[in-house]
Amino acid sequence: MSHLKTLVITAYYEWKIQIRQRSTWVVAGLFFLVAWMSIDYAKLPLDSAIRFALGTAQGMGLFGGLFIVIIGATGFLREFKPGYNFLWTHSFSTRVYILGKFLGICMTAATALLPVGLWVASLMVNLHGFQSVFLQIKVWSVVLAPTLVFILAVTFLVGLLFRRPLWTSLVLLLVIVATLVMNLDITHLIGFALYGIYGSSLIGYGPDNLLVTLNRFFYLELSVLSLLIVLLLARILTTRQENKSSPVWKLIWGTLTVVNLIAIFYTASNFQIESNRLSENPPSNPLEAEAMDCSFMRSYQIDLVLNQKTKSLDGEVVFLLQPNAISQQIPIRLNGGLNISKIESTPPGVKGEVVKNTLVLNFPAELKGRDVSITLKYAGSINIPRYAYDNLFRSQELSVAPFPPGGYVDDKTIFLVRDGNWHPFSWCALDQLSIGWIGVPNSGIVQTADRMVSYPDRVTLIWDQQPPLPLLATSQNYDTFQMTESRFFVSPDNISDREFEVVYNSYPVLLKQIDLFLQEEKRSSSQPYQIATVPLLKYSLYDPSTRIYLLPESRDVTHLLINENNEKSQTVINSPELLYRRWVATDVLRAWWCSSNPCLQLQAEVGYHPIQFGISGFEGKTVLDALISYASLQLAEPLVGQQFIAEEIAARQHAMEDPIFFTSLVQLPSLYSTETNSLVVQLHGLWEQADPETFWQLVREYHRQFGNTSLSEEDFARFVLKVTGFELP
Amino acid sequence: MSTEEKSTSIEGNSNEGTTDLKVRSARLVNLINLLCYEIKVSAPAAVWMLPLTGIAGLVLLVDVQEEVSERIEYIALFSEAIFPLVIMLIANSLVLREREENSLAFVTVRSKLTVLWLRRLGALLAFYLICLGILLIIYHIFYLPLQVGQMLFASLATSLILIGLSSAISLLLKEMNTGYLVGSLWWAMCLIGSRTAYVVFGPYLYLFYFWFTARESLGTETWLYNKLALTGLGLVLIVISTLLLRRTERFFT
Repeated sequence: MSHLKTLVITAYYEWKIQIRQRSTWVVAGLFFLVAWMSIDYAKLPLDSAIRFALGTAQGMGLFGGLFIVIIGATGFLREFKPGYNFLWTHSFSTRVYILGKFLGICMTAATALLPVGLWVASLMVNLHGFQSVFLQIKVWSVVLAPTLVFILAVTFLVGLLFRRPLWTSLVLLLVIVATLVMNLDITHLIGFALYGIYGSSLIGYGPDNLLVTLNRFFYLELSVLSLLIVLLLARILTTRQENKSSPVWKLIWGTLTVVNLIAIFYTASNFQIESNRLSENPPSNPLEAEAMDCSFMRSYQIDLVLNQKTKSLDGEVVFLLQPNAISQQIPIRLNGGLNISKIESTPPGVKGEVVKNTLVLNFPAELKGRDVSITLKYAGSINIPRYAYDNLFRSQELSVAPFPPGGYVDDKTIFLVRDGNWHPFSWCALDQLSIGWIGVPNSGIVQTADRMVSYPDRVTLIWDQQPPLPLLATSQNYDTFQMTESRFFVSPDNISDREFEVVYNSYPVLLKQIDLFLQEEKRSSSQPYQIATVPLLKYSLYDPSTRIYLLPESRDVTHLLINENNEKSQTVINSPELLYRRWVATDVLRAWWCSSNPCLQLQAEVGYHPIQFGISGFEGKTVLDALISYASLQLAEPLVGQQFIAEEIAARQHAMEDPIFFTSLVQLPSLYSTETNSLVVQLHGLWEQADPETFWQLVREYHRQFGNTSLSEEDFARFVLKVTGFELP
Repeated sequence: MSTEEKSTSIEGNSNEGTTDLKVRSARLVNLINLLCYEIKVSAPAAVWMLPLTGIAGLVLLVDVQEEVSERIEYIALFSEAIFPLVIMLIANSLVLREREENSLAFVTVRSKLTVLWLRRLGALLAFYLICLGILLIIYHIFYLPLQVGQMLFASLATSLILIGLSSAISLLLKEMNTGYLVGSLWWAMCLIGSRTAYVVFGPYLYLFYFWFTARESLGTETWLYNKLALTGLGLVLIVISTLLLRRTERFFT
């Protein structure tokens, strides 16, 4: 009891002494300065609450270490100075005294963080509402607190060895700064992800979740170990007369040390395993699946069960083939976290094995030329490698390639798209798909199934034919709301309330425009559009038949919506808000164009510029680019107005003469070639000659007949004449 | 005047000259002793820390790579970044340590605090330049031929600004730690976020000019302006610190 009293009193007095010092408030000011520098004010309204909290916590975790070292070293070693010896003549325990000082300095650090914490909280409340403060507390507790506690514990240890604040500060400052200069933070939190931890309003740290947890625990355990060593050394190094340690103390110290060492070993080894799992090497050619062959397969069915509690998948793939040789090698691309456990055949007798990324099937001679059904059973959890979402060390091809796993499962959120490596032949057409889902039923379910069957313990979604690209998105975290005829399922606190309308209100208008002018199968107008934000996904996906639109959660649109140069411009075409709407129109139209078959060639240009980066396979689509670009301009007319259209056409005309002027003056989402601009101007001429319905018929016919293929300019001119009766001007 | 008288006079002058020389030498020895004593008393850590930093700098001699720009970068790291940090940490406590300890040490000192501080600072800087000079000469002979004077000046300029800043802040806020904090933050920002810091502070007020230009393969045309600006600002801050120190002069002198 007396120990506890000493601990509390020491902590309280240490805190009291420190907060009376000006240096503590200078630290508070410096924390403020660092947080202020960590914030990009222009981006703030468009940034999610979690990214904001993470940014400030990481900034202060990096530089805050320097401050903690200085106040920690002087605070801890204050009583070791000459003239303070009397303090050590008191009868309290050295260990308790040191622990008290540690707590006191932690309290001082918390006090110094309080002003900046309140300031950040006020910004968050202003942007995202009061509930975002809890998110800030959560993120700071995970990201910032263990970092500062660890540095303080190490400061105590080094301080006890050197006994001089100057030496301690110098050594630790050099160590911390050297670590930071090498692009590592002191607790290696950003070290495993130089561009930061994944942060999503919907799934938190998402794929980095376990890694972050292990990392934080590891450094907390190291802090405890440092303190245990300090407590041991303090008895040896301090010059005070104390009673011998009681056996109880020794037992507690020994047990804590052993348990802590075991915990450190366990956490470190698991961290390594998780880190290795995430550090899976990217495929040499990430765009390869685009061109893979499915001709060997006569039918393809999947029966999948998703278990939210265990975050696992249990799948069965059945495909039919007609062997024309006794051995057949079929390439498979199955997620690294999934393993094929069984290969069966009907009729039996086929021997199969998986060698690297190839399924090797050996058929008995009598099955040659006959229909053989192969069943693959696989299970596991979807592994999301770092290259799929981290921007570091990514090749151009990887930047452009779609999100390879195509799905994500955790205890609150699931999403799945058709073409992901959660099934072995993602590039092949499916004849039937069944997804059973065991978990907590969510109110926010967005799915495109033909049928949904509910059982007491599960829900089964069934697609009786080739499913559309979006399959399922559901989360307990979704905020749902209605805007005109659309129902939105959005991540909470993803965009500030003020910017919400600006970011989302174009989608319902554009989807309706598509239904009006481009969709041949007219749906009942009572069926609402459902727009769901989805993490990790790179490109928008749209299923016109169910009116479901999946929107990537973290898409950076700030360069469109926030552009000071454009804001100053008097022309309509440079209005950031209109430019953004224009960009959304392109995105929506491309998602519609690629709704049945993915067409990376088109979608990649929304966020990236493959041709500019010299990625092969993206050239020679002048006609398709021009057609989609002009069609999306006309689709966006209710949002941008005639003046914008006129100015864009004028700018494109100008660009044909002076491409540099065009690209520097007008920040359209894609940079088009002179040929494309010329064709857009010609299409505008056609629009003015013919009536709008004729133009939309041209677009529909092109989409129906040629899909994602780009015709030559001569063939396109002939096609225009045939469909519209007009020659391209 | 007879020849005898003349020779006596010359002898007498010669004796006076010798006496003068002896007196001057004795004064110089006394001054050196005083400065050594000041360093020992006011900054005992410096006696170990500066030579130790110098010895740590010798680790570059085992560096086998022959890229000149990298070698310059490493040398600049020691002379422009590490030494000035050490000096800043030591210099900040030259007078303030004794003041903060509330000891009666100053009662026995007959000099004014400003004079005392400047004397101690001068002694410390002289000792630091000797240590760094030896290190740079060793580099010059065994590692990479360089202009020792230029590097010494580069290091001194950075040291002066850091000393000036940390001292001024410490005296203004009447606490040594505040100076450490602000000085270390500027130092750390220039190292960690070197590119951003170079943009923010500009080529004239960026702390580690040679280190940065070597690292980023930039030209060093404006090095003199940078170092002169840092020195000038550093001296201004030191003067401000002196004024602040004078204002807080003890009530008995």
